[in-house]
Amino acid sequence: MLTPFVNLLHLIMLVTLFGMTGCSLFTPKPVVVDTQEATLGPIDPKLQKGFSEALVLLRDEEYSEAEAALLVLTEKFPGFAGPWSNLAIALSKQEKYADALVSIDKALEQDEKFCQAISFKGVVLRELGEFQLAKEQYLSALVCNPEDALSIYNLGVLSDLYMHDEVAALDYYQQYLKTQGDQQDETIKSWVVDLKRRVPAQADVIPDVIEPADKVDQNLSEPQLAGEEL
Amino acid sequence: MKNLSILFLFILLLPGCSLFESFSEPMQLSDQTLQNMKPLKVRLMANEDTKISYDEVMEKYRAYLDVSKDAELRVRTHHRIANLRLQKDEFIWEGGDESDEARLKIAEADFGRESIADYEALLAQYPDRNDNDLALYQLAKAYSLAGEPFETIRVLEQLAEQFPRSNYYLESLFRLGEVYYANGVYDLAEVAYRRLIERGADDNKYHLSAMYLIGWAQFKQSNYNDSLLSFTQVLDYEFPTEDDILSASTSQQDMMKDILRIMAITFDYQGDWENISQFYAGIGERHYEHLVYDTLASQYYKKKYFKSGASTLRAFIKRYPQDVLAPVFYQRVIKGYTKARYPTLLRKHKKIFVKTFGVDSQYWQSKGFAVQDTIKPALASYIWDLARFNHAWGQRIKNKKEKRARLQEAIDWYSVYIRSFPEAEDTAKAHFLLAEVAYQTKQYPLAKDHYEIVAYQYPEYDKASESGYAAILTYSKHRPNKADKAIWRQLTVASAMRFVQEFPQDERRGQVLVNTSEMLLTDKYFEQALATANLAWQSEGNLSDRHRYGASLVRSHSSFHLEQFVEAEQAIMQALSYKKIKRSVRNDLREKLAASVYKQGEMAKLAGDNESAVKNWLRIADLVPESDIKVSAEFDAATLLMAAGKYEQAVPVLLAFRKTYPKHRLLKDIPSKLIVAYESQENWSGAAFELQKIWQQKGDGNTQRIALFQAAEYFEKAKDLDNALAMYKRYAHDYKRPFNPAVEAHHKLDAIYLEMGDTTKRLFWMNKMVWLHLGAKKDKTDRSKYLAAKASYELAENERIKYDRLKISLPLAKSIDKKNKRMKAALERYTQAVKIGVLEYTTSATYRIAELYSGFSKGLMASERPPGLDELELEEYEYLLEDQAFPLEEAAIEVHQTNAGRTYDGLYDQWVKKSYGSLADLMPGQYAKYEKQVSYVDAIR
Repeated sequence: MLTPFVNLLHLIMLVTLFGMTGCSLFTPKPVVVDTQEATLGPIDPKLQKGFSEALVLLRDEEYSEAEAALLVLTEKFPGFAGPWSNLAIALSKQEKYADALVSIDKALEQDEKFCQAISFKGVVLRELGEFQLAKEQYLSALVCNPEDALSIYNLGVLSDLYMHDEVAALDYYQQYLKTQGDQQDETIKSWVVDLKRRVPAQADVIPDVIEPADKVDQNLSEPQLAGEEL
Repeated sequence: MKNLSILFLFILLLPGCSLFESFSEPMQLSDQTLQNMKPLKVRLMANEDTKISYDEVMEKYRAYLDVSKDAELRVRTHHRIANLRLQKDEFIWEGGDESDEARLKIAEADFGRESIADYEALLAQYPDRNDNDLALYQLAKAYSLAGEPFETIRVLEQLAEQFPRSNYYLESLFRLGEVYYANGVYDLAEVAYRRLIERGADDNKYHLSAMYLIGWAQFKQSNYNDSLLSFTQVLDYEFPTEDDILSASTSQQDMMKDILRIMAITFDYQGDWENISQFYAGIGERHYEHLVYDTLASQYYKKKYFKSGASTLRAFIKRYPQDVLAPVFYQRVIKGYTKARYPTLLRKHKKIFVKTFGVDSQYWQSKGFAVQDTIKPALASYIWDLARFNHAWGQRIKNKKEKRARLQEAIDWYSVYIRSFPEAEDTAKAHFLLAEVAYQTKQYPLAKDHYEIVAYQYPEYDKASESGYAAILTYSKHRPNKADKAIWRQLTVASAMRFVQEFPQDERRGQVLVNTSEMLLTDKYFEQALATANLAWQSEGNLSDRHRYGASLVRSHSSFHLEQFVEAEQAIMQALSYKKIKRSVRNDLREKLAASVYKQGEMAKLAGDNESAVKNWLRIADLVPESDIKVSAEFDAATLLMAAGKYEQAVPVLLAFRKTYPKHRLLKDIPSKLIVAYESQENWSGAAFELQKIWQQKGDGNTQRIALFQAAEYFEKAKDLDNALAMYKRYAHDYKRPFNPAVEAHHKLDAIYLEMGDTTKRLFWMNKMVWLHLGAKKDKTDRSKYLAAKASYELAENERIKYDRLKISLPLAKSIDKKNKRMKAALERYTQAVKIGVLEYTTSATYRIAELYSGFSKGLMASERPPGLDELELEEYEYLLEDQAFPLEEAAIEVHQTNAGRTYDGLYDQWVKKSYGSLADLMPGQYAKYEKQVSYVDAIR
């Protein structure tokens, strides 16, 4: 659920929270998602409330306050991957990458299949210069959530700028564009064009993207341009 | 003549009882001559006691005659009357009737006259009567009473002639001899006595008297040899054995004495004592010879002929040297000389006596105890006298040689006495006196022997303890040869110890112990010396100050050697309390006191009691401030305090030490100790100054170098940056090698100047650092590389800042030139940093290089346009600018890309990141690419 999904229930909650916090009426309040409520039961209201407030702070880029709030929350409720992940985001936004890495790992300790955390960890690792690990992390994120387009995009940037693997970068950008369907990002499309110019004529490098099984055997010997048919 | 007659009457009328009696008034020998010498008076018959008077009885007999007719009875009555008359006269003569009337009557009547008339008449009347022997006998008596010796002789001769068988015959001969003798007719007296002797001894009561008297008669006739022989016969006859002499009755003794007396006189008359031996050589030895010698000697002594007496006695001794009486006689010789007061002779003969009869003599050895016992008193006396005499003389006399000789003789005599009378009561005294003389004559071994004998074999002797003490003194007087010295001292000690054991109450015990302990100390018997001195100390009350001092000295020295230093200290303190110590000795003692305390410290240290060790060492300064040991002690104390980590205590000691002994050899060790102390106290400044001292000390160059560096470090730690800089500078200038510290010194200078904000100096040292590294060749290290890179980078930054400050302005060419120069300078430094090859500064320098290009490019494009240009000119001008700026931008991109390319190697630091940032600006199409990430995670789990 990378994109905020607004349903009726969530809307009602947002309105309620909005009324309580007094935030801008024009900015929708983030909605707390609990995918495991059915199996594990409802979460502690205090946690629920604290988490929601932290999301608002993050949304408002109040990272320092968000960090403080989330530190309290993770201390009180350390068994939830969501607060740990958001703490990592707050830290990362303040360029406290090492601390962010610790927090994101904490999140993964709570739930190793917390896909948003897996993906975000890739960003943190890239900031720390751990490019190979970052790549592996993004790939793991894709395994966790094959529809995680951001990770595909990020794999493209990582390969392009930092790993100097224009071939792979081209592929990832193209995959990303593909996820965008008809509304492909023009900038990225220009990158694809640029890359195609710069990549070697004979691209014999097989990108190590872990694709769903039915896509692995596809021939990627030639960089695919955005929008091209496979 | 009348006297002789009277004497004769006594002899005649008083027979019986004892045959011989002593002279009632002994004649003095000096008064005797051969002429007036007399035999002893002889009593032949006893008187009868009458109850009635003679006159009454005679009157009765006369009355009978008046009436008697019987001739025979008448004769007998006449006899009776004559006899009574004679008895009466005798009675009166003898004093029976003391009345004046009786005496007068006798005197008037003449004694015996009436009796003579009676008997003459009777004999005339009856000349042939058989019993006329009695009448003749009575008549002889009467004549004798009447004092008519010749008539007496005549009557007695008649009686002997006519009545050889008469009962009165023997007596008549005896009386005849007496009368002859009394009247000086010695030859006839001798004849009469001889006739008597010739009748034999049987039934002859006059035989012995005759034998005796014949000797006298012969003597009177000067027939001395006959006389001597006659007397010898009497003695042989009467005293055939020694026992007879011993058991002799009083009268026998008297007779013998008389015989001996006259024999002695005879021998003397003949010549002298030699005649005695000649005489007996002639007739053979007699068991009573000694009596003869004795008698003669006595006679000589009575006459004060002392030498003659002595010679007589010695003649006997010479003749009978083994006789039991020989020593007795010799004693008489000595006694005589004593009486005579002939001291020389006296001593001479005492010596001879001792030699002849003393325990070493053949005489003594040949005799049994009985004889020896008789000799002993005299022997003891003589030896003692000789010893005492020589002793006294030796002491009095001035002449040294003579003095020595006398004293030696005294020693000899005391020795003889001791040998002769080992069990005598005064043997102890002899030992003592011998010891005294030996001591006086410096014969110390001998003296000490005898002193010890007195002291320990005669403990009851009143001078025992004095001798014991004297023995010790004697030991100390002796000067043995070198080889014997040790043995002698040991003996002395043994003697002294014995003294104190045997005489525990002696008041000199203490001082003896002190002296002994001193000797033990000399011999290095420390334990014994100490024990002895302690004993002495315990007898405190008896010790003089001098001895208390001595005891203390011994205790101190012994204790010290025995490593009993506490005791040693105590004893030295006690010794020092003595007032009369020489300055030099006092100084030595005080030094030893210091040593004792120092040693206590050492012992404490060995025992692990460091606190006590330090305490002791430090108190030396107060106790013996002038001591040399104090210095070492204080230093050791400080060392120990250091080792124990007690730096707060150690530091003042060390500082004081340095101040007090500015030239002491140990001084050079102090800084290192202080440094440790200061380090532990984090007194970096203090430590730094000490290190500075070490650096300044001449010595090991490497040590100096290290000290210098460390001094700099500690000054820095102490925030004393001026000193730190001075030290680091000195180091950086002086020591290029070893390389590492040189590098660090340079670095430190850089860092400190940075801290102080002194950029100029900092740049200087950074530049030095770079060149130090670059010139190091094979010595280069990662550290020097890093610091050189850093320095180079910093220098570049400095240049860059200068470059940044320069604005491009008109006129452009001049401005660009200036800026270009600055950029070049910066570029060179950045390039240098990059070349040095430290990643940290490679990426940053690379970034900076790229930014220099980029900045210059931007600067050009943003520069002030020259005024007065029209649009076209301005356009051309900008083209021109772009032409200038573009290559710079290209260069910037290229350099940034170099940095970005480092991510190939996994390098991604802030500078690489910045280069990515710059590239995103310069080439946004290629580099302005950013990850996408969620603003938040909405899933709570």
